[in-house]
Amino acid sequence: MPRYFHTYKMEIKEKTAEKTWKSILKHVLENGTEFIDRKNRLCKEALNIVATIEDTKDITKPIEILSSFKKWVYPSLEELKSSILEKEDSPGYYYHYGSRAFNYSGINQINDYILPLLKKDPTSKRGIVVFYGPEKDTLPLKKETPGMVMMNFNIRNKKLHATVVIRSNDLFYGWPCNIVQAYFLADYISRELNVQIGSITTISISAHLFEEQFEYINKILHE
Amino acid sequence: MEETREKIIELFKNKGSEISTGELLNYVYGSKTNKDNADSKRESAQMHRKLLYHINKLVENGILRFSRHGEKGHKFFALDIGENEEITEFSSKYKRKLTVSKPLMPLMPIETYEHQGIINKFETESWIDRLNSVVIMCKKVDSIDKLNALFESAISVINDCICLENFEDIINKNKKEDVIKLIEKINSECKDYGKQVSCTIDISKINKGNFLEILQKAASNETNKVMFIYSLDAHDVQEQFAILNEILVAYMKKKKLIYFKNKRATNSLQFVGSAGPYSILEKEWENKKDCLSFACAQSSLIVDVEKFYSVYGLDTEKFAQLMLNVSKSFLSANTLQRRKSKDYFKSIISLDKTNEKEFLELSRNYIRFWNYGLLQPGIDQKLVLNMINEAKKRIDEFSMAEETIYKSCGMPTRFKIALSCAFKEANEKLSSAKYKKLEITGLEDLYKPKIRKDIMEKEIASSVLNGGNDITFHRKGNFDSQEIMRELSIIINAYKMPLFSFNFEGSGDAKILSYL
Repeated sequence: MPRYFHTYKMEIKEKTAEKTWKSILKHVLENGTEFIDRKNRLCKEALNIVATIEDTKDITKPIEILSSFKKWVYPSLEELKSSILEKEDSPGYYYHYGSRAFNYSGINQINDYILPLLKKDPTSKRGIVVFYGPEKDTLPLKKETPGMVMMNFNIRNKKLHATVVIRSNDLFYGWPCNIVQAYFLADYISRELNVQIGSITTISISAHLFEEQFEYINKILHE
Repeated sequence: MEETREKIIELFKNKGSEISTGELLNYVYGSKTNKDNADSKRESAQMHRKLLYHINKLVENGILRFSRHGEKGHKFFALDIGENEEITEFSSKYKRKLTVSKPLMPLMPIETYEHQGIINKFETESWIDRLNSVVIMCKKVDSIDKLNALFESAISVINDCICLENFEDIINKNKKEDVIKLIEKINSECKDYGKQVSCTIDISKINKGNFLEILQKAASNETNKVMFIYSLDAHDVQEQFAILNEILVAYMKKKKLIYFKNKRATNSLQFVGSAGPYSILEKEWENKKDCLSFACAQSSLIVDVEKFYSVYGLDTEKFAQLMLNVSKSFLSANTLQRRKSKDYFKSIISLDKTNEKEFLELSRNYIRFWNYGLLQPGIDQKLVLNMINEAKKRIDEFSMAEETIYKSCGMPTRFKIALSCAFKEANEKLSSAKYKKLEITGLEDLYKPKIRKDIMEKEIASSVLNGGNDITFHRKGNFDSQEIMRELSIIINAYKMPLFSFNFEGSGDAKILSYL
């Protein structure tokens, strides 16, 4: 019997981004349940993986590792930064986190909500930014919808802690980028609030890997 | 700073790359003059001289440089600055600072091949900030004025070709005089700006009354910047016999190249620019949204396969590696295009706001092969096709991996690469053409084993070149339109070639039959 049921949950907490990444990769590779997705790819999946990076100093390390492979070209940090901080939507992308955070149907969730809120009440539990919008993303024929559903910002012990909820998370290609995007947004907010960045936590609802990635994951885990 | 020079710089600031004197003239001195009028011609020449005076000043100051000659005496100029360099001028009129910079060309793993002449960028100056081709759906355009406006917007964002799909809709719904004027205007602007237009016409949908006069303009050698592509199948050859006869007669008389799309081979869009043919993937064409206009091709790189042979031989692995490097270069270019798409393509995207997201949804990058040796003596054709096929697999794998990565990173985007052939005009540095002409003198030639074999080889190449391939039948000897119609029927029925053309240049006397 596969160890697979919908309330399955795993919590991983590591000091660095690299260690956290390797731990979640190892966990899903060893414990994930196999299934075939709609594109006929063999996947391994675990539901509700919570991963916390305590110290963000090496936040770009997983991307550096991914970029060392010659078989693909990983997006640059500059492009990743603009994907979350650029306020203008771009026709080149099916959706855009930056425009959803800073200009969601005219609402600037960061400058007009998060910053004043946390300035006024640093202990607030309402520091939420939403990327997913039912009016935009629940259309049956909609091709692409945001993977990162929302982010939450809490100031505790004078540090800004960020939590990001990801509905569908490719742990190999996607997670390294998601934590960097979360970091860039947290960095923007922390500078405005004059606080340090604390931890970054990801909650991956469907955490998965694809068969063609296994070879590279094994290389990464055994190096 | 002098006001005229400010305006010149302003246009370079808005459009970046290379600009013709014609385009500068329109921008700096306002609306176009009526070229039929002698006074207007004189006035236009005066303005041209005035403009050149200011351009020369900017050249002297090291801001602009002459880049090439265009048609009708037009010259092209480009910014004389390197990447990351900026020109800053203070505007006296607007009390503001004008800063012009050139888009940073990312480091690309093809530079060695470029030095060797194996890889050539199509339109280097505007390789990143303009699209190769844009399609306008005439069905969605309700008037000639609207089409004119769309054309004006599209011409400023492309560096090769605009396709006017379903042009028969424009022919059928408007006065023939207006359509003729439109064709003349489009042709004239294409000459000024060094661009091309393809009008696709489904012959089964043409309103004959309007079309026959327009046809004379279409077949005329004066309108050589506007290509007409006639879509037909064998049924149309039978049913539209009279109109097809008129079309063939008009082209034969002028000895003008005529393009056909074989509806039996494809439902999808096929057209030509000066770089080569363009197409949309069949499946994507069937599922496309009902847009007013969309991009078909983003950037093109031309691979001179002849030069590759001379340096590396027929090495499949090295060729596949080269194609992978080409793909990586497209990725870098597309990244910049995507991020700047609102600036670069604003004029056309803003005309169809509801479909902004779909504007780049069908577009591909083009690898165009030149002298790819399929009919070269001494070269194993199967090996050449294998080499291209192997490279195609790698390109597809790479493209798919990149789409997966971008999607996983929350930046879902399109990254597709098409393979096609290049036309000689695509780049002046290409090696001299080494293609064997497909010559036919009559119907019986199409049954000759040698010619059938040659056509079948071209047909196989068409199946590999998924971005479009043009197969030209060089028609020799005397001929009549009826016989050519029979040849057309055979080609359409026997071969799966989506796009082909008849070249009547080498023909002798034409026996022209009239059926109307």
